[in-house]
Amino acid sequence: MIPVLLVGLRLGRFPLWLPLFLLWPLVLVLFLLAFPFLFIYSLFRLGLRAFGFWFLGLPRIYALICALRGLRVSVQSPGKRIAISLV
Amino acid sequence: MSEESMRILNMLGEGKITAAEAEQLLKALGEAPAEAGAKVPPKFLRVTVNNPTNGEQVNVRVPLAILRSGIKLGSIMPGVMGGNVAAALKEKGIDLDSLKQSGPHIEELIKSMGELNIEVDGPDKAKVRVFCE
Repeated sequence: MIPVLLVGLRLGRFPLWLPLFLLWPLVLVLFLLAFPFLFIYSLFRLGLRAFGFWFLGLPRIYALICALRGLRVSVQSPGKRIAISLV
Repeated sequence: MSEESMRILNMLGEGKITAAEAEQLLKALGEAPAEAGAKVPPKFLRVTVNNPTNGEQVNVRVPLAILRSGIKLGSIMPGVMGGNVAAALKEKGIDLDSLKQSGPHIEELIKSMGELNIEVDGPDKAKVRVFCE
């Protein structure tokens, strides 16, 4: 499963592609650094349910981010156009 | 595919039996030949709005994989959040428990959504279409 790699924005005439794939390694590093603290905090906050959140919930959140690929919203009126697409 | 079915298809290929005879034999074996247009589960839910009076067009394409992942995520959320989120959503008319129950049937639901086609004609000649592709 591959997460969203590019976000395409079109406001008016000019398309803009945001390379989200450059962000994922940074997010991964930050997450790995923060994980021990977040896990301990969640243990205090949720108790044993924290295990459920991190080991069941997190992969499913990742799957949801991957599932977003292909989403496209386009609104067009004379003289105006807004479009968002996730690739 | 069983050995018998293969033999019938080979006989058909060699011209020893006709297609009708092959179908009868396969039916007798309890294996109907695969339909040419076998149902392929849809991948996207599409919503299009077209208003010719003011020229507005809305085109939304939502991957059905979101539905699949969302239901899987939703099925564990009440347990994780201690029911607080589920209770708040229930007040708004969204029952997370029913989502949990629909989990095993999600593939069946997505397959049957392939036939979904809703067309609404508005009073100002606007056309709304919801379908899967």
